[in-house]
Amino acid sequence: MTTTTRSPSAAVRSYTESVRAHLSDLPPEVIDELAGGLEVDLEDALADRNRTADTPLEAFGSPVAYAAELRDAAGLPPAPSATAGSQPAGSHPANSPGIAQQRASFLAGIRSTATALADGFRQLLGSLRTSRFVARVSPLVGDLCPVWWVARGWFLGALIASWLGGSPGTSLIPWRPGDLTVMLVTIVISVQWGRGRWKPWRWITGVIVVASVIALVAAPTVINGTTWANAWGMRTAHEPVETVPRDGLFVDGTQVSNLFVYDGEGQPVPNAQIFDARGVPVTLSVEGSEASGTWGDNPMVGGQGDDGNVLQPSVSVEGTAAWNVFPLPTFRFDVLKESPDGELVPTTGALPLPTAWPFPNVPRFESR
Amino acid sequence: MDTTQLLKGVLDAAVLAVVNHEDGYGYDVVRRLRQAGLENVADASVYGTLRRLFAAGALTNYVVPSDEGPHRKYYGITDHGKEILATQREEWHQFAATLTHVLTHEGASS
Repeated sequence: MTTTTRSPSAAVRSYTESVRAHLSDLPPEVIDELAGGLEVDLEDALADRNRTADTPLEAFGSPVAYAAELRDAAGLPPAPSATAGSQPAGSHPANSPGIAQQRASFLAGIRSTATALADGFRQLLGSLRTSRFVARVSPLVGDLCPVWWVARGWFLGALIASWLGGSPGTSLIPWRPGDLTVMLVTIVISVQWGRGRWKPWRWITGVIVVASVIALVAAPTVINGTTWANAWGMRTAHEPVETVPRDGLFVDGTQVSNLFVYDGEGQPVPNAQIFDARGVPVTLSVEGSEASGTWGDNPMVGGQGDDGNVLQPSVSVEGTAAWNVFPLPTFRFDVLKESPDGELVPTTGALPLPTAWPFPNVPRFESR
Repeated sequence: MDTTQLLKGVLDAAVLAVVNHEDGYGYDVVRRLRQAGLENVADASVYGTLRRLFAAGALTNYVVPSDEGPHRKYYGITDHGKEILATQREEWHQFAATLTHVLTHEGASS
């Protein structure tokens, strides 16, 4: 072997400098790790070829390709495109050069901050990776990464959606179609970032770090804001429901379907007519005294629809129907027919079912 | 067949195996891989791989002063690297056996 390792030749030095230049976007210690002893290695490699006439270029190909190969094998991202960010300020005409320059330098400032942040993050990751514990745990962490990507997009989407929608709170659940769209978009972006895609500029990594921190910090708030009551509240705020009190009488939260009146002697009172203080007939129907036989929400349907019995209005001696006369008579459904105006009425001659009084009689009372 | 592409998938295992046999500096690893028959291995691929395995905690490195020239950075394998090597060795044997079977079977049937 020849005296190869004494000092690198000028050709090798220039070649390695060129390679380093194509790694210059990486943190210095990474460049050092990648190309630290490159001169010596290249000299050795050239010497081994026993063709001293070979230039580094002939032996190893272009420095660009060499640097790309180093990056690729080291698992580092490819070099950012040579044109991005290297355009000198003012190289294109602008109406107001001062503002354009200010804007350019502002953007450059943001970009360099983001880049510095990204570098710091990479450094941190690099130092973490060398830890034995992390090396053991990292496969698990790697498997869980997709979950984090989705969660990050979800949280960010919830934040942006609430900001765009002007909502007072945030919700994990996208109630409005717009929220859903925003959240789907942020989730897709977050996952693509996680997969190493959609990073056209190097400083995007800095943005991703910031976005991740925001997502993490916001997570408790977003989750807290998503109790079901809140979520429901947000929904009803946008889709107001009927809040006008309904007609009828409620006991224990259940609408009363019939009333049974007993007199002072504790004896049942048939056909008891009930009015309120204003003289308005007290009825139990949803639709008032004009209650139709509507099945759906009509509490007039006796036995909760189980036995098919239907409450009907009492009928006065003059033949007028009244819903404030209790107990209301109950008819079997099959003796009812639909009247021309769509109401259920008993067929001619049909008799109501015997009144089912809750008690045969009750304690006596005397007037004071 | 383009053995360069094939090599990419198993270069980690090859580099770990070489360093496991004996610590070495960058070009030394390249040289030993070539001597072992992997003549097409690219220098830069090996250096990049060494760096990545080091960053992953599979390799350690230390500098050895040299009387003749610049200091050399040597790589040695860590316990974690040995575990990775054992896994990859096993996976390779299984894969190689499977592919051999597939190729033999295909060859016989056609």
